[in-house]
Amino acid sequence: MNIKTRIIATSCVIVLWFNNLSILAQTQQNPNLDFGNPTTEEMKMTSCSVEPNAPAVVLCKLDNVNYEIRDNDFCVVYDIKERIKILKPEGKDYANVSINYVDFQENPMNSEKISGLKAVAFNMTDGKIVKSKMDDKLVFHERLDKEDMLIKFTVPQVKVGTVIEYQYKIVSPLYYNIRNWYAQTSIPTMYSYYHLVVPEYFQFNMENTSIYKMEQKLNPIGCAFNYNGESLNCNGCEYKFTACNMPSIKEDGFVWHAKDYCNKVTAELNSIHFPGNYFQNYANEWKDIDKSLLDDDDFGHRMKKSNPFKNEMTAAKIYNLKGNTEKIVAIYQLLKKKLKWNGDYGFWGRSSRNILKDGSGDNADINFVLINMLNDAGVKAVPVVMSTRDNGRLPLTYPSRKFLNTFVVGAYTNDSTLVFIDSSIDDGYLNVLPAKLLTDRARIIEKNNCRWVNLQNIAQAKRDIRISAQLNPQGVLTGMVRCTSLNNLVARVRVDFKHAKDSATFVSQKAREEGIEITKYSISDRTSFSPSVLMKWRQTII
Amino acid sequence: MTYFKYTPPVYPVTVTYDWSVQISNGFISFPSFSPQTDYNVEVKHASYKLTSPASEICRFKCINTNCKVNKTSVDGNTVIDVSLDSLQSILKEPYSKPIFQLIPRILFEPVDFQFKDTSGSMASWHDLGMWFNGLLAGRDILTDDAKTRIHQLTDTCKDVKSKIVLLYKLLEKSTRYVSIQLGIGGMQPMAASEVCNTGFGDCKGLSNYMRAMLKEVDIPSNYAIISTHENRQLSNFPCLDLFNHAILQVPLKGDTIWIECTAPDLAIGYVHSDIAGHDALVMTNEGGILCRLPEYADSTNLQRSAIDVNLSTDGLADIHMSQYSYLRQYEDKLHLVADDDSDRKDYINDVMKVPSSDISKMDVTVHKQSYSVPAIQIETVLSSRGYVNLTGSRLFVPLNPSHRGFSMPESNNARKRDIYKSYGYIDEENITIHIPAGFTLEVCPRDTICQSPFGKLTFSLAHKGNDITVNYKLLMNKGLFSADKYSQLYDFMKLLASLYSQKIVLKKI
Repeated sequence: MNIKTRIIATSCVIVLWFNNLSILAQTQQNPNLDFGNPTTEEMKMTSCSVEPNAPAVVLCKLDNVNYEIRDNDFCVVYDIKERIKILKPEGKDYANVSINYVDFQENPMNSEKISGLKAVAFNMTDGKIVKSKMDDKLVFHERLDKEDMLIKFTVPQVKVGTVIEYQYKIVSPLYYNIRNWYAQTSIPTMYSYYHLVVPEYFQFNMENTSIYKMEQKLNPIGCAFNYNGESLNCNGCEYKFTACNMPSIKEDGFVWHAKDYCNKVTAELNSIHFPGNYFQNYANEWKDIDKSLLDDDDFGHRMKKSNPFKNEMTAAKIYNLKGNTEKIVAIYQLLKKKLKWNGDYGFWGRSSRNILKDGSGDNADINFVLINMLNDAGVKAVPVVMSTRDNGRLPLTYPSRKFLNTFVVGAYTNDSTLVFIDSSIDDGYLNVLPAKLLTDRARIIEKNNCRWVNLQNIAQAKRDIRISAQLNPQGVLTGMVRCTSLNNLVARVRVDFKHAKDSATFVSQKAREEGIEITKYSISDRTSFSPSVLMKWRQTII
Repeated sequence: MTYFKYTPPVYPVTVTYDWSVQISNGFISFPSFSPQTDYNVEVKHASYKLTSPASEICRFKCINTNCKVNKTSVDGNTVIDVSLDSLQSILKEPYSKPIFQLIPRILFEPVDFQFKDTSGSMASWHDLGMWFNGLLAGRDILTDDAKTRIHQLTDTCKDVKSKIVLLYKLLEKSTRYVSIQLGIGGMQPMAASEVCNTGFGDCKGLSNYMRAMLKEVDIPSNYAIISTHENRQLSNFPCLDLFNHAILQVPLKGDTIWIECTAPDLAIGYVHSDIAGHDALVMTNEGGILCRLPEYADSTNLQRSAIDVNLSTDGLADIHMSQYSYLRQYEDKLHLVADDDSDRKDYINDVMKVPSSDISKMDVTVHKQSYSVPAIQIETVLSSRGYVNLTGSRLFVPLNPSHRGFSMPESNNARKRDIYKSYGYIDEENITIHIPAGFTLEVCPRDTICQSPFGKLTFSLAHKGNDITVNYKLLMNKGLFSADKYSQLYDFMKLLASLYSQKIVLKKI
């Protein structure tokens, strides 16, 4: 996305989308908004009323987000303040803070900047509040990857009972992106306030996901900027969200992504309109996103590229195969011999020339090559885009491209039946996808026929176990077991086997788990690309 | 950190990388040579060459290898070269020594060294300790405020050991562990005043801070370095390569206390498993001394459980277990204190052989009195319909609801490496099974003693009135056993599994 800005001041009407109609107020009794001055109550607090066992609690968090013009360009300025109370020894970890920010290794000018970082600890000593400031020496920057950095700091003098405060600003030139705001975190939050002002030039879809009641207010407001020494006035919209007494939220078993269930406010860019000069519509409906994807150089156009493995497919006589399923299986196996998945999930495709040169790529890169090969062999194949389980569910109230983070390939076995496959798969078969890709809402991007599909039920994991056993007079049960695994369980068996490194380890793990003794173990189709695996063993139960 | 990520399209693939590091300001060690990095890694050929001025004496030590190290003189330089060829990959075998005790490694060390405005000698542990004392000098100064606080806390206390306890508690309350890699070569601790000001430090900083506090109340103590991996240092080859941790030694009359300052939730006086029995370099005023930390006898790592099993005539079992674990077994279960209910339940389900159990109680209490054997107490109550089998007029009742997991892989191929069991322990269960009304004991197993070089299990059962009392006592030995004993170990474990899963049969009257 490449957006250039020039600004001319006029006024225009704002249209806003608001989904949460039940605006219900629930406020905390007099939250202390004065940073630098914790109250005696806060200092003396020994447990949190929301969660008595909480190791620490966020007393107050203020997020102030505004647009500004710097260097003749818009930027988003996040002003963050947070006050935390440490309640238990394990809560001391909340005094070690990490903040992510975007820093393009190859484009530092366009990177986010963090400034004004301050951190203080307050302790009660002999009935008085003693303040300890953080030394700047204790702030570290760490690069995570090409685009992301981490700032880490450690608040001094933190004990059970300490109140810590920190504040910082992030100046982000990524004006088309507003960070998500979360009212909840891994510890309870007593008071959290989000204040956002968006000038009329930017239209965002705002989504407020609330399980717990939040107060929200929306007002028209005037915005004033300084552009090239001249003052620039326009209309804007002010959003205020207040959350009180929020419980903690943690990852848990059988939950895709805890933040799906978190009180939060997200903003997705809808359009940018600098009057008289520039208008860019980003998305109104899913069909707009469909179209923009199909027209994108790094997406739709990748689907139309030629097959780079024509000769290999001719040599392997793939074009002569009759059924589509046979073709898909053969093409996939050939592809996996040529290109290796690098362990990453992606969305946009690189050029196949670069992928071939490296011999590897992320799943998106290789999936596009797979689509090219399938189409070339006469098998219609299309991308099926999604937000992976660990990325959170797609918003239901507005279309979103921001949440889409990968896609799998849907290939037609006949005019109406699709099978799904992804190049990250080494151990499965058609319709066997890793759990993170088995989402309930994935979108098939097919010209003139874009639609939703639920990938959760595409293939049933099945296991068929047959045992014939003899019981001896000493009470020992010995028998032969035949165990056939299907679909996702096939992948599980193959992956477990790989992790175990050799069959002896795999067998001993199995024996330990099931409390049996195993002898004469055999496995078939362990490494092949097939829908089932058969294991046989002799077992003794004492 | 520099990193490089590459996914090879085909295997085998050759990866070549070379780099150079420029070290200014001196060094306390030369790079070591250890080309085999992990299990399943074969080394075809690896070579190492070190060129140094002739005036710089370089010592070396071969570990797990007897390869030849060549030393020649070229143009006034000493050139050391060595190569390793055809190292077979090491397969992971159960109960074997940790990998770093198996791979070949050659250490190269100077004798006299200059390092960041300091100079020292590694000719002896004594000399190395003297250099270290230089790093520690002046680092133990406390502010007047801190001193006043220490005196207020301890002055009324006459006994030295109680003073140590009070200061250890102060350390726990006022500091936390944060990993910091600063100071000379990662060797010099943060100054005590700085730890006091910030309220955190790493193992070096916290140990040194504790030393400063003890000094303030006239209790001398010695800073010590140790390895959490390597139990032995090379007594004739002083070097710093094999250390990764710092602790504190307090020499008292007839009694030496070792203090772990990084985990102050441990009972004072308890020597934890990562350092027990390991060699430490203790920095005394007279220089460095290599000392060995004490280690607990296998029989003192005791877990004792009293288990009460109540059966109803329809097959419901109510089980109450009261379990005390001492020393090493205490340490292993310490995580339960901070665990939440669901983690505790997972743990109980993992160690108890009670299918589909409904856990109604799971209390964990730590008993730690300073300088005495620490213990952890678990009280649990669970009920299960899957524990006993009711068939017709009989109830099949397993004798021991605790103790799961005596299985190990049978070795298909010949065992290559010696069997290494890193620690020993005793598990004892006293189980009482109450026979429900209307039932009588029909069959029960005989008393057994089973003995092997690896340990000993005694099992006995007594029947009196409506109660059956059962005693299991298992002693597992630590030690190094020759590889050919593997099948013996396998048979022993199998026998244990069968003895632990014995049942009695109750019959309706």
